Amino acid sequence: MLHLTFDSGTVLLHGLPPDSPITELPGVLWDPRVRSHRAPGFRYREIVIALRRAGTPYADELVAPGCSPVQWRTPELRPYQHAALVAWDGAARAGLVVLPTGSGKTRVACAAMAACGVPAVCLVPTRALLHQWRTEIERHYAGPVGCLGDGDHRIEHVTVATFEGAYRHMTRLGNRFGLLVVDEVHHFGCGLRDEALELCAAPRRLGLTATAPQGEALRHVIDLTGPVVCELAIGDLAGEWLAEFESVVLTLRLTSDEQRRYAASVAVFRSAFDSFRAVSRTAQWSDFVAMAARSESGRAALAAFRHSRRLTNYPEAKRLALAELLRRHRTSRVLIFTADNETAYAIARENLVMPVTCDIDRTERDVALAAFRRGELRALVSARVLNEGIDVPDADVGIIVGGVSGEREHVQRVGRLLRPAPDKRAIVYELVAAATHEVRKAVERRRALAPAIPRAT
Amino acid sequence: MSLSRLAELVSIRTISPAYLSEADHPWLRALLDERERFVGHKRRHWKIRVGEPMPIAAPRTKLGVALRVLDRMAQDQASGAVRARKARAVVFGQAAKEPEPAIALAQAASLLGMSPKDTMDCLFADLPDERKLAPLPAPTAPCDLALACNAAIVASLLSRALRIRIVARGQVRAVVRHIRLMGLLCHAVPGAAKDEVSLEVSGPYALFRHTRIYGRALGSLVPRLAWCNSYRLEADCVLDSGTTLGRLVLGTGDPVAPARELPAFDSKVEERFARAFAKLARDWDVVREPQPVAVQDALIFPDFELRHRASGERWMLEIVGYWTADYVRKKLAMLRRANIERLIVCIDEERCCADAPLDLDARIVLYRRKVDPRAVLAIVDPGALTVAPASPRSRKAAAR
Repeated sequence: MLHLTFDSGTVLLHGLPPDSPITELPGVLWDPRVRSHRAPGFRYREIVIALRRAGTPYADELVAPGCSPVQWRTPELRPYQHAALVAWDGAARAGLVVLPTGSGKTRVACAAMAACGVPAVCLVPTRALLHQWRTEIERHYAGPVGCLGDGDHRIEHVTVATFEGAYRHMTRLGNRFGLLVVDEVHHFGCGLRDEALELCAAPRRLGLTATAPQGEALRHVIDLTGPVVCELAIGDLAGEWLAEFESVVLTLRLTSDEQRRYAASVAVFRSAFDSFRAVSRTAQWSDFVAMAARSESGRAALAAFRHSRRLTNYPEAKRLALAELLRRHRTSRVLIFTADNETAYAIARENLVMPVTCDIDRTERDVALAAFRRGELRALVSARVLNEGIDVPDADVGIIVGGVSGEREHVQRVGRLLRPAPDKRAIVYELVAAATHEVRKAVERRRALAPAIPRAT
Repeated sequence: MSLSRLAELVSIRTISPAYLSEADHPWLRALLDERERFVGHKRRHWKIRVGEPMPIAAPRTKLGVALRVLDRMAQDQASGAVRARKARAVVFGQAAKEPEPAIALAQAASLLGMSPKDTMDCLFADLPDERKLAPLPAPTAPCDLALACNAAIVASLLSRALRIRIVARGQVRAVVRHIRLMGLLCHAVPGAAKDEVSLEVSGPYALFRHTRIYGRALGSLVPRLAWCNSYRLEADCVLDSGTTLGRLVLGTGDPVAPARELPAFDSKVEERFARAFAKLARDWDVVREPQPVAVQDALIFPDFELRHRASGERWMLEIVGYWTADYVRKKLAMLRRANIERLIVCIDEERCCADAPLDLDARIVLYRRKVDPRAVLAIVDPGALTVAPASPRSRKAAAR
């Protein structure tokens, strides 16, 4: 008799017949260390399906005891949310839902958890989102909600975990849940912490994102969560379910001194980088960094690169433009996005804008966000914390002073402003340093948003 | 083909860790002195300082390791966190009412009873770079710092290991126990030389691909191995973002700081039993770490060996904590395969984690909180038992 058991994030198949078709499934390998077949946890569903098809009798001892069904109040869904849920259901409850920021992905997840009625774990990228998800779940679920991360370690039938917490503990917890929900799933697929998904045996899976990954990363995410079952962009929902918005690019000149220093730094960097590319045409940026770190000239090139980025992050022209924009929109709620925390603190000091960064603890961040919602703070400045997920309902002006992560970051940031409100028309300013790398970046960012931008200025 | 299979087939270059040695002590001393000078200063000042040349030039990579080790030894002290938080609440709240920043700052400063400059100074005084460098918890000599750095270098390399092979002698049971506690798989077989044990260590998921999830567990092995009488470790490590394989070889005498010494016993139950039995049975020795016993092509490590001093008669004794009937049955079957004729298994009555009844078919002593030494002595040497009979809970099951 074949026995399926859970062992540290993997499925052990004791007593598998040698001619079983299961051995041909991807990921099922003979493990000589324990003299059994073994498969990654996420293959559990495929294994069970294959065993049933082959008519192989088996004893399933994988699911942890105490995983009883749980009771939910089904949340009300908008038509497109309902469509997404139906599509996910139709894909045997394993798939990716791509919806723009502000369109209510968390609610879709709650509806999915309610529909399944099994123990569920929700993975979220940050500690701030951990608490936001818990609060949202508690609206629809009466039982205790577990929390894994931010110093908390309570496992319940419905548990929210940070990616980091899941990565560390999934070897122990991977058989305790029937549904795996992954918020901002685009963070996976490139190898970094993918184990958090690979070691989980939950047969039902729901990936959520506003910006689906591309290429090889998408293929791996599909392998881990299922295919894309629903995909809507900002343009599909703007006007009715998302606020309309206007995008304004302000191209600003560096001072002559800034321009001179920028050119000098870029020249040092370019010299080393071009030499590297001449001999390694297919190499990636990470290869260059690894190579450069080994020599004095390489380290100088990297330092010059960082210096050039610092110069464009917050030059004099951006200072002046930002102060002017804050004056112009003094009655609006403004979100300011920067490339790094250093710039966020500089802006906070100069313009007396509350920073929301990883250095500010959660309680204070929550207080600041609540004050912002009530209108007691007129603006917030952030490098990365506000990029994803955080629920900021009423911001109507966004000022992008700088960024590091390209198009996906930009789409996420714009999404912060699109929570719908009556007669709301959001406005997004991009401050771009002329004759620098930022010009190309700005073009790429706008391309990512192109279908949604109603009017280019 | 998996990386671990590939590692068996290709020749791998040897990794030679650049250990910190006595030659590094002068710059380590200078670094410790410089750090001491900056205690109480802001972290950002220390960051700037370590970016500048030190009084004695230090190799760049080694200096980086030493700085990371020093940072782990003492946490920075937050200064005025509450005041900074309050200042932020007042200043940014005031800025929402008054659009002109200079006026808002003056109003906030007035509310806080501070000057505008002091208000600005304390606005972010609790941020990581503004925290104060704390003194090291204990006086640290350059040689201690060098050993701690070497342990960090080795742990970092081992965290990239696909699998580890260890040949060790003496105190191996503690290493095996540590490996299993860390969630790793360990296959133990007799070594080539007498008293040697050979261990093959890897994580369950390493069968499929290289992963760093066992990094911390693998990195913790060498400091634990340092307590063995002798050891040799070989680890195949994935380096350079997965493009290179290297073999790390370590052995007795390598300059790595050992882990904290383990307590002599794994649990209070074991400790109490060993003391009580030694006191009760004067003709018997309680051997804490007996020789491992071969079972087919593997080794098992019993908790105790009870050895009669005059006759040399030996009994193995296992103490089982949390258990299920299935677990006990499998354990007994394994011990039977080892052909251990004289075996006692002590089972905690209160720590059963399954409903199935236990089928007692071996020499089993049930206990609650402490193992009754008289019950054990009644099995190994009934004639020696001159005191009162064993408690009703303990009983000797019928011999197989």
